[in-house]
Amino acid sequence: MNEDKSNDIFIFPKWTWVLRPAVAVGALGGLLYVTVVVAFGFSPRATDVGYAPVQPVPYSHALHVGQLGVDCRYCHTSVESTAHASVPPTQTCMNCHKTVRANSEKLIPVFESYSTGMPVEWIRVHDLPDYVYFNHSAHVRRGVGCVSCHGRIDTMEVVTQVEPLSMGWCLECHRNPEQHLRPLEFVTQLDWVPEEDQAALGRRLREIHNINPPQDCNTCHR
Amino acid sequence: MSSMNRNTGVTYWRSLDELERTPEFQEAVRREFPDDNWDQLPPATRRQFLMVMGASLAMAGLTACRWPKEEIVPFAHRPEGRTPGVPEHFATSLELGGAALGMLVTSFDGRPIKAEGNPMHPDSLGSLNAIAQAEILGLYDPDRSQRLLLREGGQEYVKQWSDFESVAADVFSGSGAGVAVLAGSSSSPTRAGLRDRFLEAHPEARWFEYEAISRDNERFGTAMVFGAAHRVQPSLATAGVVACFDADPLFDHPAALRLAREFAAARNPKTGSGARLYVSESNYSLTGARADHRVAVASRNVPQLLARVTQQLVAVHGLELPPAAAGYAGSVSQAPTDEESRFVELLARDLASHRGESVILVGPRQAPAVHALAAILNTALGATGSTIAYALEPDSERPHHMDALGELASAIQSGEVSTLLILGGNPAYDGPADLGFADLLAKVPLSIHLSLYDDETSQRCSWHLPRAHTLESWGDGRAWDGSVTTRQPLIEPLYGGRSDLEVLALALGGGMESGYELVRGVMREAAADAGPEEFWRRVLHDGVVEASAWDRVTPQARPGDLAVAVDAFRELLDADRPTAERPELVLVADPQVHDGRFANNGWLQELPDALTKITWDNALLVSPATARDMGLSNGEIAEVSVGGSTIELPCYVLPGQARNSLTVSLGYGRTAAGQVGNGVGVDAYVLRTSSAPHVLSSVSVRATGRSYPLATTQDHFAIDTLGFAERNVRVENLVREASLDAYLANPNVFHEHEHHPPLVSLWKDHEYEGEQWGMAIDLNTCIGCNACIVACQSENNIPVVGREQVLNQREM
Repeated sequence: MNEDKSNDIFIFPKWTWVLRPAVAVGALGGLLYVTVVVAFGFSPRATDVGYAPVQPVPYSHALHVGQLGVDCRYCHTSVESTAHASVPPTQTCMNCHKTVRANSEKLIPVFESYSTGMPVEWIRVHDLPDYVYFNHSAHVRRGVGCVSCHGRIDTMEVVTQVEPLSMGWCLECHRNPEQHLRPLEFVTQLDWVPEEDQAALGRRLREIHNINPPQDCNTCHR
Repeated sequence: MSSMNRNTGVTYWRSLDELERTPEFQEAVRREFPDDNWDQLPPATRRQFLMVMGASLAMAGLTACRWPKEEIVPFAHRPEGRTPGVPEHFATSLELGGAALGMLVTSFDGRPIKAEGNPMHPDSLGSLNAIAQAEILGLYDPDRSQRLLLREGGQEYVKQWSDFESVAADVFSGSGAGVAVLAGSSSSPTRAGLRDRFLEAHPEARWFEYEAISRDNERFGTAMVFGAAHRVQPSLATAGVVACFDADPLFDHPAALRLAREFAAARNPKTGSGARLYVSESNYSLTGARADHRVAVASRNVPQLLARVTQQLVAVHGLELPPAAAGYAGSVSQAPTDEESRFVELLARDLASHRGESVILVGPRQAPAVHALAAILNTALGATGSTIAYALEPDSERPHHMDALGELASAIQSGEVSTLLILGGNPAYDGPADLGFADLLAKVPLSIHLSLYDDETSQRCSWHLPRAHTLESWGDGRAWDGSVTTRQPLIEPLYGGRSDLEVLALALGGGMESGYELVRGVMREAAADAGPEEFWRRVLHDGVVEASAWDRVTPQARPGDLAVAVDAFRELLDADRPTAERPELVLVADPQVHDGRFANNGWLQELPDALTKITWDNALLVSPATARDMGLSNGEIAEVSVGGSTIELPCYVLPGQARNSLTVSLGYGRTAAGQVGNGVGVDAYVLRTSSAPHVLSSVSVRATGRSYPLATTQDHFAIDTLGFAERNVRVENLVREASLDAYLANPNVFHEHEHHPPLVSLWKDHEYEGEQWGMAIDLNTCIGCNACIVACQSENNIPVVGREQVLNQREM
């Protein structure tokens, strides 16, 4: 018992016993929460996956690739020979559309582009940062299927990004390419599944083609 | 072993300051980071802090969680063979001083990014010089003129090409009375054709050609003795002895790249012909820096030296000159110095014992009579056909560039010119001061200047037309040996410019003919057996027309001409030696900005001069002895006066400069070059007169006592005194020298001088697998042309830092 009442000011109410630890936990926890939320919020998984911008021409891959069976390489011609897959020039569209659906409203921007010579301005969906170098031909020619990075384009009315395309995601495959290798003739067949176990197939293909994906920084950060 | 130089005090030094370890130099070395003068940094105020941080904070606003949308914009019609992202190469050319240099330019997605040499071009052989490498930067220069301007009544009006077309239709009609065209030197067959058509359509019009840095003295020299102007084509591939008199064939020659390559091959110890190099000159050229024997002589005394060599050759070695040329071997009254005597003796002996393998070259600053003598000597020494070849100069009636401008100036003066069309060039800036061309332009009622920049001349003309850059225009030209070279654009004119061919065609009244049509027309006409279209495509691909070099001729000296030439030469022998009170001043083309046309090119301005290492300025080059006599110190501003005109510029003490002969580079001190070139250096053209365009006498120099810090990289990253001393002790291992004889006797002579047995490593060495890349520079063939520096800057996007940062040792 304290005789001197003046010291009562130093006796805090009971609820303050939990205040200090609660504030500490709250602060630290809050910090942790903010970090996690921001990290997740800015990560490619949150920002890029699901990106499906509206294009100037409502080109449907589901129709052309899925239904009509046009191969990826008919339009994306340089995917096996150069770094860029290259979006096709209007000429390529007009190869068919000179006669097919020549009166379609949806194709007006294409017809305009062809006659004026001004390009169709597509919105880029799969965008890597400028400081990164990615070479399509290195992947396509070695048996990485289009679907591994771009998903089931042949079912998309509007092209959507399905994979995060982050550095960590790329490194996953570079460290373990067996999961994504396929025989070269099936590279553009988006619905192909291996008959045998993918890992076993991948191992075999890796050995046959001597596939050693580099993991040096300067592979991509040139 | 005894042939290796022992440490007999061989010291490698970069500047006299370093050699003498002056207190200033030591201080500069002590400060590892010259700009870290912490006491003198400007104080950072709170206001500045907030300004800087405020900017960053503003940019930290989160506009979107995803980066801004990017577009893919493909072609509507993709050209055949074009794959986006894959670079293509196109053969084109650059013309400087009337000779075309072939280039292979890399185009990435339709934009030229890098210039390389064209292996099929005889003057390039796959290489380029610094200026050609830097042309890429000139193409993208934002200071280039982007609009047509009409200056009238004190006002400036922005015009369109259609406006000019209607004016041109008016002005260039009729017989051409009062019309004059001033153009730069060009070997373009298309332009020659247009000129002929123009003069035919307008018989009273006059055509003048002017080039500030002209090689006409050589032309006139050959004309003096051979009766017609000839093109001198040296070849060093089989040369055993090369003698240069104020000449710089390895760098300052239209075929310099080829000559440097041949020289390198000739200097191969095992397979080369030797090419022992004797150089006599007043300033320090790159050829002089490579010379085996060099004597520094004032430019006006070079004829005496050549005369002595002739005398020695005839008297002692029995060289036979044509009878009418006997006067060349007469005695020289001026007493030679010991150095000169020795040089003459060695050279004469070597020339005489290498007949058919030797060549005498004279530089463009020497008078025609000296070139004439060289031609006679070369013929007598049997050089024709092996180390020198001749072809007839096309357009042999053309007057000397200086005379042409003089004629135009007097025509303007007497009011004969009412319309003046200037195709390229910058005569208001680089014309000789005595003509006063800048003021004369005001007298011409209608003057039109086609130019890359709105420069000094354009600002004094009525019309300024933006010119298409070399990389934006169709054209052609001829290499030094006459090979027809094409030029094709890598990109459409960025700023709506037109080439000189197109403007000339406009003046012909043909409307807007495109350069493509003009050049193609000329090429197709020239097609021999193959179909014209196939020929055209082949020529565009190669950049050069096969076997189109001029035919070689063997000119004969005519006795009547010889007598006149001898007299002209002997007059030159009266020149006395310059003194410290009356030194000689030599105006030279700058190795970086040439005659000033490249003054706005940052790469070239920041390119350290090969010997002085000066960036961003020009200086008065003076030898140490002369500086002492004149009371000048390094970096001190000197006042140079010639015939009433005066300039003030800093001086630079360069060991190796001739006694009492000073050198200044032309091409600086520009006022309308652009943001990079304005105000850099001092304009030496004010001292130039049409009678003495390069070598000036009766010069007076006065030290002003003020100094100017020249941004030179000479002493950058120098070592301290102890290190310097230790380096000199070890230098025989660091820089292994041996004479050619020692090397041929024992090719391992360099390896044998080991000062310790192979070292055993204390730890496991790193295993290197796979390929390794290294870069080695063969210093036996490097001449210091600096093209590699500009090429690296071009390839790797290396920034230009500016004069102040170079002074802070921050040059890239």
